[in-house]
Amino acid sequence: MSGITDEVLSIALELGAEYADVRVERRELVSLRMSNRVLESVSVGERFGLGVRVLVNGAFGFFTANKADKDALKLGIERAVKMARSSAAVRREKVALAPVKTVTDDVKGDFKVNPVAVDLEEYMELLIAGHDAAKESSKVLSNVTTMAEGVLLEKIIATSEGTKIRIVEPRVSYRVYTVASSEGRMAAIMDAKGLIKGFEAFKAFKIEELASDAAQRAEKMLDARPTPGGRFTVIIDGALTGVFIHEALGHAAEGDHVLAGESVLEGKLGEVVGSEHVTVYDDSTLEEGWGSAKYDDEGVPTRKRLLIDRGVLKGYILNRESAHKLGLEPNGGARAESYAHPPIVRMSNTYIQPGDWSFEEMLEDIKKGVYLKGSRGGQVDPAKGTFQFNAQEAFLIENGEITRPLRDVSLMGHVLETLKNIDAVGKDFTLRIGTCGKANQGVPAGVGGPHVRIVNALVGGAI
Amino acid sequence: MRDFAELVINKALREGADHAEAFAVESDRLSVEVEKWEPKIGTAYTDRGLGLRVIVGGAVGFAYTTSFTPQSAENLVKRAISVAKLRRGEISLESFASGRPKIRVEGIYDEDTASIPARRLIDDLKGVVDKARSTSDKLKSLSASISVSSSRVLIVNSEGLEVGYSKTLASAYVSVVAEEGGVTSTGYDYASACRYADLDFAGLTEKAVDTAVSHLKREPLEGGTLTVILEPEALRDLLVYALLPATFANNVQEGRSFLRNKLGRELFSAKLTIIDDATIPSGVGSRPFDDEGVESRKLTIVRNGVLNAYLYDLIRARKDSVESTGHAARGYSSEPRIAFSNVVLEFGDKASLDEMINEVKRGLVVRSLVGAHTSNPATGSFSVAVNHGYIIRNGELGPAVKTAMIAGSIAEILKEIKLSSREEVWRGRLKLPYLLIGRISVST
Repeated sequence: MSGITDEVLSIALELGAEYADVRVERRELVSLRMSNRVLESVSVGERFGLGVRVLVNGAFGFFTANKADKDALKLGIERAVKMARSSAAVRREKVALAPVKTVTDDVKGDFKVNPVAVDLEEYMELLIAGHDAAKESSKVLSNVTTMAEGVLLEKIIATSEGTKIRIVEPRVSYRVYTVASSEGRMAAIMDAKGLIKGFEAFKAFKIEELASDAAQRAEKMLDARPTPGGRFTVIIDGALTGVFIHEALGHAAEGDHVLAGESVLEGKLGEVVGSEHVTVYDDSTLEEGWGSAKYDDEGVPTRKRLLIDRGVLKGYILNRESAHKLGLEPNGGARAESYAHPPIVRMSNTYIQPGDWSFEEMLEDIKKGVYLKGSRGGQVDPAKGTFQFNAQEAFLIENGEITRPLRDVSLMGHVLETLKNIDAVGKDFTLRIGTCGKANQGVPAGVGGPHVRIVNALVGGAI
Repeated sequence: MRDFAELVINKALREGADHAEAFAVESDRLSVEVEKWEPKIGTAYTDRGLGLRVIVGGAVGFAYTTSFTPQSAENLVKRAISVAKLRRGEISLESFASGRPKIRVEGIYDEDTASIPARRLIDDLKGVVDKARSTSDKLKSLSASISVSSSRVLIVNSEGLEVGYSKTLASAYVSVVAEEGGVTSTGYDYASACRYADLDFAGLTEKAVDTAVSHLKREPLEGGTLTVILEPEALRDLLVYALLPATFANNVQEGRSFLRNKLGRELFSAKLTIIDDATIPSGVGSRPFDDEGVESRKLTIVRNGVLNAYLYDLIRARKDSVESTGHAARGYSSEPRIAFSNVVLEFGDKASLDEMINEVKRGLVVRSLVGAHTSNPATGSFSVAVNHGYIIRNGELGPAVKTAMIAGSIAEILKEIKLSSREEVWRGRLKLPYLLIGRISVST
């Protein structure tokens, strides 16, 4: 693999590139999904390929392939160079990259057992363990789906400036999805765990506990009543806080969105964008973070990025291009889904820093409100700052007490308004795994935070 | 590709598989983007890979590779057989598809599209930028992308089937941000077609700009149960996320569908018909056969409000002792899943869009939604935000709406259809009219 990077870079420079980088990857995957004890779908295999990015006359071109013979490579890099030249001809402004120190490194993943080398029977046992634990915990489940996945990624990132990084990275994850049904009503709960570690990490996930907990929560939500839509004081749990801060704030803090005029945070560095209770990080260095990495896909060392400090916007997530344009220092925020995708500005692990409130203190003075837990997904328009996400579980709060479950609850609003309406931040902390989609690329991302209280939040309900 | 496919099939049969099937795809794609008015990275993708399925003692195994070397063939066959041996459940088949599909689907491959130079794409993107600038001076930013792909699918199996087809696909997306007096708003539009020449860049640009500019002034609306006109884009989102997954046999069989045990029941308005048809000439979702080699044919999912059919692939069909409807879809790195091809929705009572608006005393036109992917096909329920929408007062189209959410169940929506526009629009793989819905719960 190492020989190819040198060859690719020298072809690119010969063809006139002022800068080039290449990522060569070999990704082995074991992915199994079991539904009601049937091994419903399996993806086991290997994918090899490379992606070359060239900068010519101040414009980028990109080529990707999974054939590595020299003629095909040369032809492909020529196409990328041509494309860059065509773009350069109509661009008004040249792309330039903020300078970085070159790096040579060998990053060996943290694993005892290679997740793609274990017998598939061992994965089966994990899937069955989750299924059976869920079934034992609730008698009303119409479906239990368990998913286990192991990846081993070998990657080289090399640039024409001299950076060359070898990475071997394992990754394991487990997901459980339970559907409870009774008398024509249904309720579903999803939960997941993941670590950038070897097969041995599955033990840390406490699969039986995870599954039986999901089963009981689904059963409980069967009794949920429709939500009264309207404005309420809400408390959201750490999982939902994570999704909220990722969707509503994180995307708007991405340097490319800021530069594209598609972010409500444009030009707001140093300004108050939230209440004093709100401190937000995007941190690539969290040991347990699903979005962690030592280097980004431009070969730049990553770091813990302070986005909001006690309500004041302090930073953006940046790749080399956006850092140059904004006159800021690159902070290792360029990520690609795989070799076949050019790196773009992405979050890593995004969270609200815990405060000092207990959950009980937050509940105490709410006359009528809604407690929302977990996320069923969300969406945001970073240009407008509007967001919407659906909770997995929700409960009515009446006179400081959680009274009954509510169904089909979603939360919407404007991020800056909402951040200002946060009047209490809990002292607990939860970190979750997720996949973040942007520009048709999905990358693993961590989201987290404590319980957070928001006043005057718009809650949507059913008929 | 063909040689490697044959090699691994023979190898699998030698090493204990009763049947074997190779699914290979080779694709080539060009894509260009504009971000904040400026061309961004242009990309050339080439990709090829092969997925191998085997049947061992009735159980199905699968593995994939992108390397066509003897060593990868070795690993591939070993992995596929070991997966089959894990399967001690209901993922079983007697054999793969046999019988050569005879149908020809016209207009899905276009040589001009396959050989289009990147230069042309970049020029057309520049055309989008220029068109937007000349349409409105309130635009703060524009992003757009154009991509063109050509792919070749090959399916070979040990039943003697060897079939392939080529397909081209062109798509474009335009998104703008408008600004006036400190208020910002957004608009977008997109289109796809098998022929590049069928993309209407000027039309897309105008629609995106019009949406954004008309949303610079937004007025609040009082919530409640309102009459709503769903534009094709909003309707698409609700069908794709809340209804169609519930018609997939796997979701039905596994208890993840609100349509379970509902075949033959009148669930929706008696004037509603929904069809899946992979044979529509030049259709974005058209193909002569599905990704298991089963011939494409037209399938009526809902006829006159009655649920008529689920969508099947081979494995799910065997489980219900029916025939596959030809709805297997996959890339080379995954097992087939069930997916719709082209979906067409028809409603009996038609009117012009103006007539439909005139029908509404107090209501809302919903152009697009945010968050429809959070809908739950197990219950058919959704609770989503209105991204773009307009208030209707006394039969007249009014200003854009400020913030609103709609919630309910897709079954109720499809029961409450009162009128359809004559105009139909392709939104991706769905051909849809505007629909007037009698009652939808709107919160603001």
